[in-house]
Amino acid sequence: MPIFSSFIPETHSNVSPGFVDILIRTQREELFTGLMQLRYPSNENLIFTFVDGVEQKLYRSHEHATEIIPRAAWSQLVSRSEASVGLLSLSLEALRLMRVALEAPVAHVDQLRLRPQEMLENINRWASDQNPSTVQVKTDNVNRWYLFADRSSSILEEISLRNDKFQFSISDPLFAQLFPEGEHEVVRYISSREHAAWQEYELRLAFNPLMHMLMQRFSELAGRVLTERLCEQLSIWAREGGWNIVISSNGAVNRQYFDTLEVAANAYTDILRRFQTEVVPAVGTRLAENMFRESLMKLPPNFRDILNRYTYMQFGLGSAPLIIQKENTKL
Amino acid sequence: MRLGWEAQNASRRLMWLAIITDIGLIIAYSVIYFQEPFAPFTNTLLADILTVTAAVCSALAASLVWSMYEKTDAPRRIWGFFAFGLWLWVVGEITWSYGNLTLPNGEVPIGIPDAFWIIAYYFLGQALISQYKILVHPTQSELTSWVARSVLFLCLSFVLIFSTLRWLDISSSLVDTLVNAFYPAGDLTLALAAIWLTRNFQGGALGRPWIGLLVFTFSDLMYAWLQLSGAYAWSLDQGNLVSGISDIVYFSAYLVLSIGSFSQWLFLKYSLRSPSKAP
Repeated sequence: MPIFSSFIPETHSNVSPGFVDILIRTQREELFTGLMQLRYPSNENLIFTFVDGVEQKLYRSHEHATEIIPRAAWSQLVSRSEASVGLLSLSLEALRLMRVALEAPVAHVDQLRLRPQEMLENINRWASDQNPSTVQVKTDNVNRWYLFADRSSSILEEISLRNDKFQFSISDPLFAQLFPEGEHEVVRYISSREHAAWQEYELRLAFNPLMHMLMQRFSELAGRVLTERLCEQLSIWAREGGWNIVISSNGAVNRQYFDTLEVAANAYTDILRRFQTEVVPAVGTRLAENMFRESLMKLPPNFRDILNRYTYMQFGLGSAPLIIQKENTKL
Repeated sequence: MRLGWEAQNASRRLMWLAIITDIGLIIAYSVIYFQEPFAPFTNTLLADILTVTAAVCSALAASLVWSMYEKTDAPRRIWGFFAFGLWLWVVGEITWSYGNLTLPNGEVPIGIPDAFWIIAYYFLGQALISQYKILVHPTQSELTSWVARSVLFLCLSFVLIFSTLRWLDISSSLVDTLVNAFYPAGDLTLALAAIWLTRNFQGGALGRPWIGLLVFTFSDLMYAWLQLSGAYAWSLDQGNLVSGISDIVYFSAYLVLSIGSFSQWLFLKYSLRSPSKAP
């Protein structure tokens, strides 16, 4: 979705490929996290994403879609003159939201003018829609973007742009209550749930409550001391695996940027597998399996589906039919 | 405990130490029982001291597990009841041993020790109910139904055993028969609950104490059966192995129970630690 590119402030104009290269190297050295935009006179628009100084992806944006450029073609594309360069520093959370907004295809765009009350009425409809969407709301001097993917939770991720500064925050479906009276411009970019960017996003949202429930159950069985030790062990293990994910008794503090769904799914599966390995000696195979089954069944259906599809199926702890079958079986 | 060992080694070594100590105690008890190396009073005194020691070991191990949980932890409730029940058994063993050493012929009638032993069943039952609640999260009606079925089973088996005893005319008085009928009924109920728990924990460290309880209830059942059938008294008179084996199994069961609880304590204390972290 090209909409963000117009908000990236231009820092250098008409620069040579050599200077672009220097700028890229500078971002690496400064461990930059955010977006780097390159505009060319041909109206071509390229966006690099950086996480801690490492380039993750290069996007070429079109009117309603963004193309991911293979790494092999990067040097050829950026070695052109007369580039205008813009840099936008973002938090990791904001960058993850950006990734969805950049990669998810737009199937349909709804342009509306809504009062706060009308917006509140629409929010429930957007939230329950089968298709996820990115909603942009313009109020006075502030632009806000919301991701509507999670049909069951009250959590909404938000990016707001105020005075050239992007800020990430967690909002809720009542956000429109805080807007000033009057009509506001609302643009809704409707996408497809099956796209990998949305799936990865939803998988991340589902993983946290799953871990929370697993830890809560383990704590009930084994007590707080052992649970804290388990969290510590899992966090150390995740860190050694190169993932910035900290496991606590409240769930997972996930500060990892996964650039593909597959990598994310493998990481979550490995963490769950590790959890299983650690808890089986304490509670036994049967109870460990029950913990996974019960926790999954307590989650909202969309979270259950996505976890089942990308994690549970991979380590044999009850596929969907098995879980449904077991739902009727008491301990 | 600071022994300068790595967590894994500390756990393994302490477990072996406990097992070797228990085997040593069983050997000592067996030697005293069968060889009778000292004067009769000394032999009885030592055997009784060893039995009380075994009972103390099981109660102490359960108390250690209880102490590992924090006040807000649900399992603390289980282990509070369990440890208290086992301490009541310790008091039962002490008062019985006192009677055994002071009364003529060492024959202890039904009385104060049995009061402690019987009251302990209530606390062990409460421990099992607490564990059931944590495992299953039953609704109030499910819990009531589960408890009602257990109590019904206890009552039915009690009535059945009591009737059989009255019919066989084994016990001398009504109170004796009532008490003697209660033990196997109570043991059977505890054993069934312990089987259910052992099956649920399926090899997990947190299920080991229930395996210990299972072994204990079976040994107690065996002892009760030998007592009630008259085989125990006959064997004692004849000086053959049956009564000896029964007593040793009963003594060992306390130690198995203590090993079960102790291994859970070791797990709570040492498991899930990084190998580099000294306990």
